[in-house]
Amino acid sequence: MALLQVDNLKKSFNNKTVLKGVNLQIDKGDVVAIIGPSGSGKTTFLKSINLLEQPDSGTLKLNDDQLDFSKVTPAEKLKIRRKIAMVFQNYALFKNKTALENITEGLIYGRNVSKDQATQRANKELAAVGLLDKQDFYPAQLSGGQQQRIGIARATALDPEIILFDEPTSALDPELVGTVVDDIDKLARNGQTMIVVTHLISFARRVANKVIFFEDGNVLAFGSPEDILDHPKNERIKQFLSAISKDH
Amino acid sequence: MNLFVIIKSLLAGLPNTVLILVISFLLSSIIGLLVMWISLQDDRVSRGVARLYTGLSRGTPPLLMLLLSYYELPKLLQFVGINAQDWSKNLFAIFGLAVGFGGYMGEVFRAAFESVDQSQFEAAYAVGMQRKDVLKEIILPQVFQIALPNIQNMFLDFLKASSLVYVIGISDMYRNATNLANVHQGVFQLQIFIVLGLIYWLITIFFEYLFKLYIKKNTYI
Repeated sequence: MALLQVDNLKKSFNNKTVLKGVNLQIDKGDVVAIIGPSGSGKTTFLKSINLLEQPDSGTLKLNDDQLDFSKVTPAEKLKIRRKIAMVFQNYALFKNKTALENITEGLIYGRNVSKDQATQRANKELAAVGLLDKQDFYPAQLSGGQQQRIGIARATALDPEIILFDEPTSALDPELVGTVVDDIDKLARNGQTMIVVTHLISFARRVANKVIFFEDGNVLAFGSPEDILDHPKNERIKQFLSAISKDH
Repeated sequence: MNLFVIIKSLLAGLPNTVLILVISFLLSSIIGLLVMWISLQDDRVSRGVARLYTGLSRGTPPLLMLLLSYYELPKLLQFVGINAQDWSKNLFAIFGLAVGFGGYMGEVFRAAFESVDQSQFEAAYAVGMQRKDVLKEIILPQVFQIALPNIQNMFLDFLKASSLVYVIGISDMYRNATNLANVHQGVFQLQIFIVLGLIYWLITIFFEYLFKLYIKKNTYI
């Protein structure tokens, strides 16, 4: 049985249709890379999965939980969000919280974990990303790379079924991309299910076992990295990949 | 007339000035947060109510607000069966100033709320927090931090506006200065008002110092 199944997801902003009926089915342990041109709806799709964006219609199934996007209750939203975690492009650490509190906050208020246990868990996560000595620092005092690794620690501390990554490396200095990619790769090898929107083809190739190509609010292709990235059949994908490789 | 007499006479009004200043400021902050909250609702009626209050509050001279509060509010209260004839003048002064400046405070908070990064909401919802916790833990502390320089500004406005309470006969520092000058047929008016100005100035420096201490201890951005 699939871990996550999304059917016929549609979303429009001010009469502009952004997602035109997207389907996706992923299994436990999958690492799915979503690639495609800007404005194709990748991020909107990602944020629809944990309902940061409210889709107009479609259905979502996560394990045994089912919901209809056209009539979601606040309780359903909360339930889904508490099984999923997210890592953001601009890190989005809580600015008024220390590195440690950034991790405990979700445990305490999102998972009803006691403060002591949350602190213990947060310390463990900080140690895992090598930032234990920064636990009392505020986000503004940390580099982009450090912030993003805390963003990843904040997500993994929640033991989510799925982690959503929204272009996790695109705001980073090129020099720092490697460490964050390594962290995500480590998660993948531990069997963490992830969906990653990215522009880094090398990253998709290294970490993902499935690749989705988005174009104009539709899934243009879905398959293994070899099929999509190495031997693309679709002309549009070939063109996209060659344009991207010229930039790097 | 020596300086000591002037200072002593003016400082006799200091407790009233500070009392009215601090309490009306706190009350006005609460009104401001409430107005912010109402103005951020989705329905038009709530937003309309917030806009109407903000407009009236910002468009009415503080002096008029104090007079309305002192002379008309008791009549209004009488109408609903509350006898306010014996209430302290300070209460009406506090109410008049708080309501008169509540619109400004509401705008200070609303502007700060709107400049909180949208991703702060998203990140908080994404870790599974409920709306009330998102506001209490993440958003309102940031609103407060962003608003702080403007809150400080407002506080100093309050300090000076508090000198207007003389119109309803409260013995604050300003009224004491006027009385003292009148008793001496205006001969010492300039000296008296220079001393008054210096006292306001010292109070300003004192509160600015407190704000600075607070900001230094609580800044994270």
